[in-house]
Amino acid sequence: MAEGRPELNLRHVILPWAPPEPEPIGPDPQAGARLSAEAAKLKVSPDRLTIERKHERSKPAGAQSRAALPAASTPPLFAAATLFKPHPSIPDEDRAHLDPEALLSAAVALDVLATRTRPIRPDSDVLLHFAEALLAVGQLGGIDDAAKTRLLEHAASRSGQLRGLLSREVAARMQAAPRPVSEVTAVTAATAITPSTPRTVAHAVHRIEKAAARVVAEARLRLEARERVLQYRQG
Amino acid sequence: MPAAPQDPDLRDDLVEALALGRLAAAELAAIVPRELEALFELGASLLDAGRDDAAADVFGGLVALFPFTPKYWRAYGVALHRRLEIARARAAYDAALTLEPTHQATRCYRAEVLLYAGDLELARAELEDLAQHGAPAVAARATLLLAAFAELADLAAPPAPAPAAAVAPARFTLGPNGELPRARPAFCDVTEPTITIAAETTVTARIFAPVLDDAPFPTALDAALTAPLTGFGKEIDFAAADGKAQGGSGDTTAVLRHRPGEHPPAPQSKNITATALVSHRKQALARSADRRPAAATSSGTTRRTTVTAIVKRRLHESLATDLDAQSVPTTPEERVLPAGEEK
Repeated sequence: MAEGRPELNLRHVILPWAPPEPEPIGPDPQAGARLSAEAAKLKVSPDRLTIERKHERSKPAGAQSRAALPAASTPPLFAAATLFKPHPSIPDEDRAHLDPEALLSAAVALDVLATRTRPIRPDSDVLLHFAEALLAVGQLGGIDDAAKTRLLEHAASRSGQLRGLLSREVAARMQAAPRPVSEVTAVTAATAITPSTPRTVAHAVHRIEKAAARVVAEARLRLEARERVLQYRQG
Repeated sequence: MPAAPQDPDLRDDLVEALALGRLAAAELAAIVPRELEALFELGASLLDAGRDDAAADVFGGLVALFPFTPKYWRAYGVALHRRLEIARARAAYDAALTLEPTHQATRCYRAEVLLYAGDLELARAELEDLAQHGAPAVAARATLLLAAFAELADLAAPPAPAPAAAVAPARFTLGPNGELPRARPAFCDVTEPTITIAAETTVTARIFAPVLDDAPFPTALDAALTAPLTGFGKEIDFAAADGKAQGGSGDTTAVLRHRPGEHPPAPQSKNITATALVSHRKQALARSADRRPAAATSSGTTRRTTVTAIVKRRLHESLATDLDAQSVPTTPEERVLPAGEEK
């Protein structure tokens, strides 16, 4: 562990896109201890930074864990089967025109990425393997050593540090009990955040694969539709 | 796993940056913002089409690729919210609010999932604030949610014992005052009281009925009326009004109904039932007996005869116009009987 670096950054890998335990679990009192043990296995890289299990506290079940608790221990309205109408929708200001060419190129990139991530297993090197798959796709997309250097410069900059803090804050907010928006406080070193584990990272990778399958299917449908229109016009 | 040759130092630094949340997966994979936006729009169009599962899949991958855009988390929350994955939707909304704390629609949606999750006081406080200070659209939704607050709370109460299910009548009957009966729920909404007689048609059909010597007439229940009645399918059942023999009377009232599963009614006849007033059956049967010798059966005598039925179509007023446009009248002369049968 490098001297002078804040311990906060090095003890855990906390990724908001790999939240703890999204899969169903029971009300297991040992769940917190097991999570910590699994988190300790997650290595950032084989040579440099190995996360060691120490000074860890058992965490309360986060929001993702609460989703999977049996009905007997859930809040009263949790089993509501009706949805208030009108249904929630994406605000208009978020919407834009769908660029079909960009969708196609994204589908190709995701298809390649999903092909490479499929063998990934939830072991301690899951993050390394995932990053290697990402970099392999990035290399096809023009990420050379110079571009990697620029990425690292960005990560080391003030903007990158703020991003790292933002990631922790997002993760903490997702795991915390609901609070009013006005009462949300900044994340501190003492904030208890359940770290990401090889299993949660693998689950996030699986989510990307599922998204890739959807995107590729939709892009293929659009391509086929376009071809049929062209064939029809050509007689 | 095959991997492209990479500088190990650069690779390990990038992995560390990814682990610290300083770089996003999309940046390492060179998936540019334009492509991320295309993924977002694809998910949004899936949501528009009601394909919430597919949209949730796309948005779930999108936030994993680039978790620093609030609208991606918001859209993911909306998709999960629609699937009633309450805890995960709340977490996604919280992520969006961390990145964009003042977004009112997100606050409103989050308050809604808090209602579902049972955090009633927190939800009510948020909704009341939004109802007073929110933008018009958000304030309107917050007001509606506050109004529905009691209903949502009722969901938490233990369900009241269900009333005994009403036994649907086996068939329609005319009431003692000649009141037209209600249609079955399968045909139309029973709460719809408006029924009108849009057409009255006289049809002639053959009836195959066992006739017992010691009984004045066969029960109508034993009769099968086969006739291509316009608008009612080609084959229909013929049932007595009360399921009992109509002995002694020449006229009877019955209901023509579709034989289930065999001849589905035309779409426009979905809300139609028909009441048949079968008249002069006794005379018709007698005439038939005079013309054709009876065939002996184990249960007695089977005679083929022709009955005249007046079919009244009962339908909703909203469909009257559509039916008026159809060719409804059918007279006995217009009936085409199959070859080989008496005429």
